[in-house]
Amino acid sequence: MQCVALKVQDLSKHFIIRKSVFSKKKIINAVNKISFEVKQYESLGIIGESGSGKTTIANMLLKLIDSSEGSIELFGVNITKLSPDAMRSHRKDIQIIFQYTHAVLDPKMTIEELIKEPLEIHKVVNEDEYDAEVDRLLTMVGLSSSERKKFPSQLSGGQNQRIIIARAIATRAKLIICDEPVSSLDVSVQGQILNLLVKLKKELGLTYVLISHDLSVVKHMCNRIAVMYQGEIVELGETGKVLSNPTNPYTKKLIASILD
Amino acid sequence: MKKNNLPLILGSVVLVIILLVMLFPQMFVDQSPYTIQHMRFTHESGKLAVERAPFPPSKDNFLGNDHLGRDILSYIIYGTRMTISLGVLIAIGQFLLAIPMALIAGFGNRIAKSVIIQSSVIFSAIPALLIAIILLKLDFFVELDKQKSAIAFILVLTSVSWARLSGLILERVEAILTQPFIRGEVATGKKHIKIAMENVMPHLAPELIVLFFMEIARNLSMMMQLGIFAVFVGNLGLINDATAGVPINLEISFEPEWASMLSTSRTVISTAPWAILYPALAFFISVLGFNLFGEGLRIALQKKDSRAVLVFRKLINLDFKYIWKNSEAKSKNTILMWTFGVIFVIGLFSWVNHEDYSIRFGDESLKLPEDVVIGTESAINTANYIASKMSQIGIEPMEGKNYLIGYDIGPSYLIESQIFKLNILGKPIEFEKDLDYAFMTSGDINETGPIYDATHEDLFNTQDFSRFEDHYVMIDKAYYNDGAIASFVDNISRNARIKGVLLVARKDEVIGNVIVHASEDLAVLLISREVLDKLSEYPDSSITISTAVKPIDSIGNNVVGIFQGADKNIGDEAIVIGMNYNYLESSNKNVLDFNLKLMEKLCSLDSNKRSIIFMFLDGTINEAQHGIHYIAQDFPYSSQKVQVYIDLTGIESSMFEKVEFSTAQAPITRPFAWSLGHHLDKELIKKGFEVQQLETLFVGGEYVFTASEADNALFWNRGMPTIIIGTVKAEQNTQTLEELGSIILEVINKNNY
Ligand SMILES: Nc1ncnc2c1ncn2[C@@H]1O[C@H](COP(=O)(O)OP(=O)(O)O)[C@@H](O)[C@H]1O
Ligand SMILES: [Mg+2]
Repeated sequence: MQCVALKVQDLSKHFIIRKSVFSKKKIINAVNKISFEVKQYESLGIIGESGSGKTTIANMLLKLIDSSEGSIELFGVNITKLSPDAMRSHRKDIQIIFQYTHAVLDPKMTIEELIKEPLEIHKVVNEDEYDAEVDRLLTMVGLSSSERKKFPSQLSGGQNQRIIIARAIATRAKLIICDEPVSSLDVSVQGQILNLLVKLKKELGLTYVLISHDLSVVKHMCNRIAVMYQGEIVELGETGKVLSNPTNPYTKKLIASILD
Repeated sequence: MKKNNLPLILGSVVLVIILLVMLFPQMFVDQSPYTIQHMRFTHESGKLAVERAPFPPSKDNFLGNDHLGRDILSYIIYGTRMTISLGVLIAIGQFLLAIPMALIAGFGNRIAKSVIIQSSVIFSAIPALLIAIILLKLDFFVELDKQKSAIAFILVLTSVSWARLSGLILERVEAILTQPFIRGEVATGKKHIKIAMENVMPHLAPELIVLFFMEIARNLSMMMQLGIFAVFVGNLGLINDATAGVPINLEISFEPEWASMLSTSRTVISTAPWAILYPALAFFISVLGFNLFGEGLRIALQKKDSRAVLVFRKLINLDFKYIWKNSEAKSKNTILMWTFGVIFVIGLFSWVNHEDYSIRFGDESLKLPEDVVIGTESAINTANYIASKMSQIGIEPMEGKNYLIGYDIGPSYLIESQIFKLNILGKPIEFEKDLDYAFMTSGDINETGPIYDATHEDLFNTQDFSRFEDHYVMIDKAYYNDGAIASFVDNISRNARIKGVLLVARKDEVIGNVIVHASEDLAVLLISREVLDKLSEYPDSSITISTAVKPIDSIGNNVVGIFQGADKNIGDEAIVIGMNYNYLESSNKNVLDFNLKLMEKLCSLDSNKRSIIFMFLDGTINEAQHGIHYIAQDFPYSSQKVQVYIDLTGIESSMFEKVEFSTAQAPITRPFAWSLGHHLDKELIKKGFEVQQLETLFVGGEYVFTASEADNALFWNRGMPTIIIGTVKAEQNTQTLEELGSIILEVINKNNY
């Protein structure tokens, strides 16, 4: 039986916004009571328009922000209420691939340092093997070791995205959350990165949660998809089933938009 | 298009100059800042004119002198080191506090954040300046010595100004923490402290460096303002003048420092504006320099393409990241612990660095003779004993010669018995020795004769000496000086066969003698004014004088040695200490032992920057043979180099009731002596000693002690400022030399930094 990599139940996030001390509180229900499960070696796609709460989910899964309600189980361990210190040891299992933006990598660190960092933190290999490991990771994500001494600003967006991927797989993570992994890249590069993700999944036996606002990115990569609308999952199921037989009006609209 | 970074260039020029002045002040002025020119003599059309400080700027004194006669230029130049260091140290203090607090608060620690916010609210509502003034004016701070005062100053200024800086840094830290890459670092599993050191600091560093220079500029201008309110390091906080019951403070520091100059001179701004203008200008230029440099750096760092900046950036990255990163976790802890350890120990040392000033004596006195009198064998033995002690301690003889400096006291006798009586029919009056009278000159004499009262005569114009024949001639010392009296006695005794001379003592003159000048036929006596009255009642009665004497050696020996100062700049400046070694009663052996122990202890203290000259004076029992007169004639050291003479010859017993003390001859124009005297005075009163001042006369702008010529010898003959400390016995002698000795040790040690 496949083991469950991630189990989310009734997860919610409410942002409380207060412009000033005198103005009234405003509550944004960014994520509202969502539940889903991801089995190991599976890929779950989360799709929804911009502002539907996808990044908020990713942040909660990685405990970069605290959730308001609900629970998250990572490989059978409930991590919802873990302290930052206790969480740290679980971070090598779950990693994230961010959307490439300016300064998503520390501009003052070299590529080498950036990739070495997760190796050091989680003591993945011995100290004397760091160099070889950095080379190996660079090769895996399709970069040459000549880029080691460069700064992120000296590389292209696609190359930076590969660095982000290298950092994520460096810890030997089993579950990787990809939040819009290609959306800010050129179309020509997008395909390469997606192919890299597919290749790595095969080679390393990864489990993905792939987040995107673009159905065409998700549909080839994921066996199941969840459709989000205003903080809620409105449809969840096998990719083929959802695409061919959508039940929710929003999903229908979404599918219609890519068929055009 | 290339634009020069003018602020950076100008700022660097100013900073380089400041650095050079701090490191090599002697390159810029020849004059030591410690020299003082209080009076100046000028020849104008053949006439000698005297001017008093302050002097306006002139060719010799480029920026003039202040009203204490200090050369402004050299004071500013030598003051740079301390002033700028203070500014920098305060900035370091602020950053040491502000950065960690800002980082902790930035990572969401509410306590840290509210401490920063509350403190900066408090210090902006009540200006930091005001708080600093109030705090630093507290007696506690004012009374600290130099080093502690500097530390206290830094701590107080740091604590009133760190919060504003911390708030600024916090804002930047928060901005950096919202950058996307921080999320990535957290997701990777990095600890907060590592994120702070490896990610936040490198981004913060360029701004911190800019801020650092700006902060120094701020601190300097804060110090300047404090200076105007008389708050500065090492403020002695003295009362200069309390006439009419209104204390007028004299704010003064004897270490060159700009803020203190402003403070000291602010009262004379109308008469000597230059004394305040130039230190203010020094502040102004430095503040400007640091600000320009900071501004220039900011501009340079903002230009992203500049190559120099890249290198600079890398350097900063190196500082914070590589060092931190490339050391093992273990060694990191070690580094941290060491840093804290070192800071702690330094702090502890400077705060708790209590020297041991206790003094113990009495053990050695068993070996000392029963009495020591000039010219006797016991004196020469004791002198040699003291000399051997000196050489043991590491005190060198003066001018590389002998410890013993001999002087001729002329043929002298020790009096073994003496009688002086007034022959009134029926019941003769016998006077009491050492109270009513004392012999000055004598031999084995037994004579009776009438008195010739010359107290109302003008002895300068005597032509006929026959009226003195076969009489005791009585002369009043009050009307003549010592030289005149000596010549009268000489003149009269050569021109007439007189029986003797009765000298009427001046008011307060000490009467008492054990040694007399040898003379077989002429007796000279010093008599009290009470005896004069008695003799005047019976003008026709004769007097009888009889003495039995024993000849002694005619050589006295002062034992003098110098303990070399350790500092290479001021090591040749000297503190002179004069002490007794003669005594009559065996109970006073302790005093000599005390003097020896005091000497030994002084040489063992760790801060002997200046040289100390120890003089064990011979003949101190008698004014006429007192060694001070002889050493004052031919002083074995440059008088200009002597900062103070501490006269301890008045210490005569180990238990006493009051302390005799005077700083009348340590005027404020001689700052070292003056400050030493001032501290002694304060300490004596603090430790509960009853202080008795010596009688003085005010002559020509300076004071003369009336009790003994010996007290005036070095000040009036050699111009050495003199502080006198002695003991006074009375009914209840509860005070001990141990206590007094520890005060003397402590004050000398603290002043000799
Ligand atoms: N830190 C935050 N504070 C307040 N509101 C937020 C915050 N982060 C996200 N939101 C709001 O939550 C909603 C979901 O945002 P997000 O998860 O970024 O959507 P998506 O990634 O699907 O575009 C949006 O309306 C957004 O404005
Ligand atoms: Mg998003």
